[in-house]
Amino acid sequence: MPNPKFKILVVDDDPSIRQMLSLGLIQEGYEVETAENGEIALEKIRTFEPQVIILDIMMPVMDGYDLCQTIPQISNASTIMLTAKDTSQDIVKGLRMGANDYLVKPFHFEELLARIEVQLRNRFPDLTGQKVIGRFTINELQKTIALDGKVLHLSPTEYRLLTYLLWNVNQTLSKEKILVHVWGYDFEGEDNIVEVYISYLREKLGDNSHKIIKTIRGLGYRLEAGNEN
Amino acid sequence: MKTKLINLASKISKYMVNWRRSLVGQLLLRLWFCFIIFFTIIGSIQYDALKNSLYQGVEQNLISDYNSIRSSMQDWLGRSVLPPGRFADLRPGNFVAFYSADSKPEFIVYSYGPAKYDMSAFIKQKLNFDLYQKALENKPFIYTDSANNKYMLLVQPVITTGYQRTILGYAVMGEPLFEETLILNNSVKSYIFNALLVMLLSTLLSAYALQKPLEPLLNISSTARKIAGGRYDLRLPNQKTSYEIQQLQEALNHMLSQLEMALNTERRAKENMSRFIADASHELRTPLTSIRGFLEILQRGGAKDKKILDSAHQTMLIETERLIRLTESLLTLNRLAQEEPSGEQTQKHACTLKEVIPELLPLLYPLLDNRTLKINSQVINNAENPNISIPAQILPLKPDELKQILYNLLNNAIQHTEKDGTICILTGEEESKTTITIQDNGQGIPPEDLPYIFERFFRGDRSRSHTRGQGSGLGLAIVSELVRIRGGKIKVESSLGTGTSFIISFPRIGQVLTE
Repeated sequence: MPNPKFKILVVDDDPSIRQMLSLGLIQEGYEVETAENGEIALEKIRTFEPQVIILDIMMPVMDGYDLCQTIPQISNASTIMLTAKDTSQDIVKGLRMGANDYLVKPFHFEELLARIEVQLRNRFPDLTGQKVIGRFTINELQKTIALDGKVLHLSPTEYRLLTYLLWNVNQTLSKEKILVHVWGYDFEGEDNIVEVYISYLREKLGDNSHKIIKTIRGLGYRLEAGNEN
Repeated sequence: MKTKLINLASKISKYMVNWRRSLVGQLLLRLWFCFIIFFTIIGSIQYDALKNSLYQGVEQNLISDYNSIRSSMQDWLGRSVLPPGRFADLRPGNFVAFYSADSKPEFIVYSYGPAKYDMSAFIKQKLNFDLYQKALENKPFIYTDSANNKYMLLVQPVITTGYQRTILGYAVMGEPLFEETLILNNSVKSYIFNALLVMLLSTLLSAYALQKPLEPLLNISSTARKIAGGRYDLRLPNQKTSYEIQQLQEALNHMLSQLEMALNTERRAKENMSRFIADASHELRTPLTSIRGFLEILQRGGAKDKKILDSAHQTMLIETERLIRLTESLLTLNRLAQEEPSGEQTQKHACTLKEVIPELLPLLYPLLDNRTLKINSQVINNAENPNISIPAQILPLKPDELKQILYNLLNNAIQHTEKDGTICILTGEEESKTTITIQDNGQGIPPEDLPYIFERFFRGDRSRSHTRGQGSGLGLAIVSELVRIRGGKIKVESSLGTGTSFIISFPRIGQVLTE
């Protein structure tokens, strides 16, 4: 595993399983945090920013299905459901609710490792945490973004905003979506903060003619990463 | 053409068979049977009456004929006067045949007017009755000749006048019963025709009239078919119909609700069973998952890391204990579920709190933390030597069972009570029952959970967030089963924030002995 490490959040209400997964995954070279229910998990997703979330379905306070539906609004992490529910209806429901993968307890630890790698490879083909999107190169582990090979100097908020736009390249994102994803639900300011930060980004990208970040009137913004992709 | 006819015939015969087996058909057959008996009786009475009145007229005729020739017949038979061929005083169509004393035919005197029969058969035939006898009887009678013609005859002796009366011969007055036979035959024919007509009309009318009250039966059978097809919720419609059919409907509907109830019970039992198995396998899988996971981690090199090795050992031990407890609880429940509550057996077991509490306290005391445990308002401070009076109510349980009940309820109370809370064991005695109450001032149970807390694997939301070594969700189920099979009752009272009370009551079997 490269250094710095990929981050994994383990969400399970059973302390033994939390302990087992956290020790096991740390041994494999991941950075691991745990949460015992959905609410704590939401908090940790924001602060810990994991690439992969392993979650149980049957949990108190907020169950795995609800959590799975909420995650895409605040993070682009992959989710792997890990649960004792093994009927095909349960599996279909889990996947439809937004899980990227599904593993039934009791599982082989090695299989879990392989599935985690699949999720990481989908986003970082060479498993270095780097992903090339058009003219951009995004390094999730070092938290850097380079344009045409030149590293941009971004504030944390600018980094989050640009990452979000890049992961959703060529898609129009509404101001509300951007606000929730980058600033969070509990943000209480004006939504013109999105316009302000978009303008900062355009400046740093040298995008005076709005060719990279396009304003779609009445709908939001769209990032076009250039023809290399 | 031929096959068509055969088909048609078979169809008709089938229809006939079906028709005879239908309810309307059966009723009609019985109706016909009654009609036939009825018409036969009426007909024969009528026929007799008509015949009698007709024959009476003929008898009168014969008597008057006799009177008109009475004076002449002696002369005619004695040949003092030549007998005439026809005689004006006879009724038209009638005749008088004369026979000698030894029954030989002598001659016949006819009336004027056309003969009704060809009488040659009568004349030629030898009479098959004794003239003397008939003369003595002096009664008209019916006679049929060889040509099947009917006559009414009256035989009178011809007697010599004078001092010495001797029988000269016999005069047989006769009237052919031509018209009378005709009238009777015609009346029989028309009677049969009328009777058949009445039967036909009444058949049609009855078939139509019977159809209506029987219609509900057809409705019933069509509904019954739907029900048999799986629509167990359907009921026979409440039709305005005869008393008998309504009773049938009610009986059937009653049967259907019983049936539906039984089916529902069975379905619920199946659902419960499959939910139980799903829950049980979930409960078994979780510890197995962490045990297997740790073993694999150790295999992948974790064994070299002391921290991982220690946690693995500790967790696997805890999870193995959990598995053992779970399987033991499942076995206990399975054993209890097979026992039926029985009053007689109840009497065999008896134990008291006094026997059990001292053994129980060392197990519970470590779990208490800062919580206070009381027995009837006496605080227990020391697990080994509590030094308090324990009520000696006799309960219909084995000591082990009482221990398990108390342990499960107290453990449950401890888990749902804050660390500074109080848990009380209260005993009570009423006229007919003995009660034990386990009371806590913990968080309480939400009202929507109350009906389910004795179900296997049911866990309130909070206790679902396992802390280590916590219960399997079977504890309360075991308590409820134990109480049930020993003839007791358990109920729960709870309000959120104030606390929960589990109240167990048994029929009273002995006296209270308090020290």
